[in-house]
Amino acid sequence: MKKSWKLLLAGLVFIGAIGYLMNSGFSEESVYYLEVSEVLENPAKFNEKGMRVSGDVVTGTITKDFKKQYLEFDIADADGKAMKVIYNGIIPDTFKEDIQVIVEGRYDQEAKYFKAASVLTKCPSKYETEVE
Amino acid sequence: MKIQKILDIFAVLMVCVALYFAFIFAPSEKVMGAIQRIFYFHVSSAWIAFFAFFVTFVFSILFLIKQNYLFDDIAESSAEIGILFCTIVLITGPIWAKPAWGVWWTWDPRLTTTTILWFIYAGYLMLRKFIDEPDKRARFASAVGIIGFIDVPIVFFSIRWWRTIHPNVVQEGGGGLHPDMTKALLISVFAFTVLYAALLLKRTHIASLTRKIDSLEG
Repeated sequence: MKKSWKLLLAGLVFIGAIGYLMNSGFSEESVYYLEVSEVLENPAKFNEKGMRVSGDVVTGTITKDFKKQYLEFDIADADGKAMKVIYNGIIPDTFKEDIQVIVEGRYDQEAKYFKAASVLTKCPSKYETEVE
Repeated sequence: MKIQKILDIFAVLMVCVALYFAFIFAPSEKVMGAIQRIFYFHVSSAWIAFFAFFVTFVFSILFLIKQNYLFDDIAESSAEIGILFCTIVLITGPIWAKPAWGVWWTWDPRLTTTTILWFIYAGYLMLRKFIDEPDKRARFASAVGIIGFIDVPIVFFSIRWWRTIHPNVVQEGGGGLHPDMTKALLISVFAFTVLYAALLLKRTHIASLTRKIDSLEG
């Protein structure tokens, strides 16, 4: 009898853990990240909970200050829709031009920029070597 | 006994060869540099975790059909080895993610489904510990071993089905590898597969000995 209680408890813990993971992973947004155009269409919809946005860092738009931990740049999606991103914090070593990033935060509709709480750099899917 | 020894020696040799290919033969990656070499261990471990859970799946079905306890022993052994390699995946992943993405962890579909996979098989192994009657244990575990396998294709295809930060390097529609990196990866996967076979043989042997002792005591 004692054994079956233990079993039930362990089962509940596991179902709970898996449920929590599913919930935190998928339901807050049905997608892991949004495209820039999706955000610009309706920022208010996503601002409530915050969002992740993916895009290409636009060449020539980066303002970087390591001392003040200030980073400003534009990201654009494949259709060319772009938005300004401002980030305060430790700048990732891998951050540079011509890469894809995922920014987490909220869109400021009045000032028209994205306030990022974190910046994730995407690495390339194609692995190449330095010199051929 | 002899085949175990041959497999052991072959596994040790292949791991040495794979280490040479991963660290010396394979060229450094252009963007990420040396850290990218963790790729050979990360992907090979993921492959073994998938494969091990597949073996558990197959032998769980076989047990339910044939009621042969050897199949139950193989299913258990394979799940144990699978969770070991799944743990390696979940350790090497964050080590690589920190320098590549800037964070240790993010709730991305690939990462989330892999964590769920770990929990499913941790649950499978705990279930086995909780049930004393061998026949009930084998039947319940088989059910979990069959249903739990659903998550494996979900993990595998997650990077194609959903938006994700996780790169798709080798799957269809993926970016692709330098030919020398492909060679190193194939050798690593082969070495890990030999290691898996050696471990499975040993673990199954222990499982059937344990079953014999238990039946004598009972």
